[in-house]
Amino acid sequence: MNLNKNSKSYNVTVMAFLLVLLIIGIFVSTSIGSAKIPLSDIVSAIKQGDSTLKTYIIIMFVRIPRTLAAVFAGCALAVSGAMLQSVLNNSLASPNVIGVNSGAGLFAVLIAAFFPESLHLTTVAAFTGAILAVFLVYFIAQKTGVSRMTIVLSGVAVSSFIGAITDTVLTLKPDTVFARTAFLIGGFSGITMEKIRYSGFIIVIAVIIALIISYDMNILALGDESARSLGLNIVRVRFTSLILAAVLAGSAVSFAGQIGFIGLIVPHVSRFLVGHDNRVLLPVSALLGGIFTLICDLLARVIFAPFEIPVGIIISFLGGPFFIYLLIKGKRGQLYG
Amino acid sequence: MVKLKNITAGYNKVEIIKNINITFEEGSITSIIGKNGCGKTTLLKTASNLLKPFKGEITIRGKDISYIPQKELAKMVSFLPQFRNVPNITVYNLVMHGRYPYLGFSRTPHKKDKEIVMNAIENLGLKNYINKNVHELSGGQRQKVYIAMILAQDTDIIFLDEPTTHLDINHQLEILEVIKNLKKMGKTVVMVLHDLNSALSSSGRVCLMEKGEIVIYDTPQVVFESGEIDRVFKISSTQVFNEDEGKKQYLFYLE
Repeated sequence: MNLNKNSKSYNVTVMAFLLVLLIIGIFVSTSIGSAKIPLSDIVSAIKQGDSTLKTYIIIMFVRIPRTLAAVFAGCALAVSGAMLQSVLNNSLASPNVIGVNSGAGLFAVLIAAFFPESLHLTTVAAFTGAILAVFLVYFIAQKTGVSRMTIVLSGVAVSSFIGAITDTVLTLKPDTVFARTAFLIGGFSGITMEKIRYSGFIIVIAVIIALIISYDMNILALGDESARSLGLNIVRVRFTSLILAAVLAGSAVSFAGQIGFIGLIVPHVSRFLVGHDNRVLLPVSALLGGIFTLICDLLARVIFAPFEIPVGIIISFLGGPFFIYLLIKGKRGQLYG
Repeated sequence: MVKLKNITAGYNKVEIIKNINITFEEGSITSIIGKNGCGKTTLLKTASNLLKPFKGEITIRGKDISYIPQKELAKMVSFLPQFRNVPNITVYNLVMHGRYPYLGFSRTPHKKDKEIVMNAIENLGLKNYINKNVHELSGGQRQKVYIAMILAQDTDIIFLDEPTTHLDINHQLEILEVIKNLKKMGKTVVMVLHDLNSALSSSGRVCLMEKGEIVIYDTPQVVFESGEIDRVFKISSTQVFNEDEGKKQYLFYLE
């Protein structure tokens, strides 16, 4: 078997290994927490289906929703980041570059400030805010030709403007600071199946569409002129990619809050493992994003058990130094091309 | 046959080329020469439909180019820009990109696509680099990989924007040989060249441009003898006959 990097068998091996790791992670995440539940108890509790059983309640209403939330969020943010870095040809691009976080953050704060009785709508509002912000970024970029640079610059401008609105609301309605802070740090505590049902479904669909257009994204990486000369509709591919990236990140932040670094760091590690071909990079990013977020969430639960710290803090603690390590250790060509 | 009729084109409403009328004959090599900023690249981009003209009409074998669907046009016309991203992929995968216009919804290459890609790679002498990352190659080798991609695109008309710029003399000559071979395959090649000697000695026709307009478009000998090159570039020139090679060479120096 040819296991040289770039070979098909190497890529399949990496994906299979990550898939196994993810499945193990899901079981471990369901088993470990403030109450440790052995694997055999998990299986028997699910088999029995007795909703009065304490183990069953913990597994079905706490652990599984939380585990799925971590997998969905990690997968969505990583794929979103990988797509943005590829389409914008910018290794530092992440969902916040196109206004996702600022848009979602503003709408979460608006709900807390003006509709405190409708806090359950925060998920929908954050998703809507993320998508609207991206449309605004794209609309402005379109006026100037939808180049990679104009998208990034309009993203910075829109994020800054939305940030100013959010700060104004926070100043006028100081009671909403808590909602803002919780949203900023991000986490999976208190997650229910209701919260992730629709977002999870959207994430799965968006990842499938992303995989379908992954080869077109490869063509786009040649540059606008070469891509157009090959018959690629660059505006359509770039627009679809941006919308998918926004939908993925928007879905994740809608239930998990602003979890930084995953969209930036996971695609880099994935690229280090399997290279830049989006047909391989996107599924590997999805798997690695799920695994990384699961591990971070697990650590968030057990480090100071029975107390819990927000997963966003763990991710930043691990992600920051690891990213610096990659920058120093990794060869520039491998990391950035 | 590519025909440009009364073409005016540019960027942001600024006209760069004006009232261009030119026909590129099938199976020929045409070099476009002129001072920096005279509109050579704009002409190439407009002719390949990458830039929509402000006015005028471009036809390929009598068909208006603006009515040809993008993917269909990509099977007829290819364009190699001077500046482009260098993706972090293998030589094989990059050359395979040339088959993009022919791939179906699944984007899976068929046996025929793989054969064409392998032929293009072998044609350019890149077989030993097939699994190498494009980033690991020298500028000259990289240029060959891109030309292999163009070859895999299998179009009758090929536009090349400064294909030899920034290459050492060995690679320049190699690329020019490759271009001559494209002509032997029956391809129509139109290229922008800065090296006047290369342009005059390796093309069937030369188009000299100045300030967005065509000064002269004819055989290299006629263009050279017209004295327009000397006037436009403010240089002097001499033609010498290289007996060893049996070819004419052109020398240029400041007045």
